[in-house]
Amino acid sequence: MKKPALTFEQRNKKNNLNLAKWTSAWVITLAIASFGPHILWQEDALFSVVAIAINVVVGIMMIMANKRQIKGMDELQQRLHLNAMAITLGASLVFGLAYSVVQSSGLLQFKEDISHLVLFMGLTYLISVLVMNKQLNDGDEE
Amino acid sequence: MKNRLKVLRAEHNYTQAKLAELLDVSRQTINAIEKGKFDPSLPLAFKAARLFNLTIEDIFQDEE
Repeated sequence: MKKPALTFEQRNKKNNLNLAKWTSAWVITLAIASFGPHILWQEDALFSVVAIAINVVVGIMMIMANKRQIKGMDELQQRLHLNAMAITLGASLVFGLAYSVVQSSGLLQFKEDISHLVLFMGLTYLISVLVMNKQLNDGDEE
Repeated sequence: MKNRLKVLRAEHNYTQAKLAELLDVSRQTINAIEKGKFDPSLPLAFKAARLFNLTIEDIFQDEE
């Protein structure tokens, strides 16, 4: 028997849940790959390679889930997220390179890490989405 | 672009949520279209026209 088609809200919820599951799995596998060599398998290279491979595969699944989630959004939401992505990409490029120049000129003594860039991108994306959502919802009546 | 979506919705006794469900979009999108903050795509405009048994021009008008 054919399953009844999901409504927009149900489809969105399902895609969000799916993305949350894959993101959680990716974070867990990343933690295992990062801390496993010291805590779980005493620097055994084979285990490390397997853990990293699993992390990459789960990461690819997370990307697919993210793609599916965006595809399932309506046209306004897609536009909103496209704008947030553009702001995130631009801000990362501009501030990342500006930081690089500042550091190479010796003005700043801060030990940077790739996680700082990830954090910066995540926060930029989140703030962009929240601000644009607020602009759209101003004067919302129902 | 101006539109009569809010009027048509009221005439049919639809809430924003109900209209959103019928057009397979979010309620936020219906609200943004009604407020003139967002212009829908042609497929969505056709969908709305079909739902109300009207032409696109009956619902959406160019502001020029």
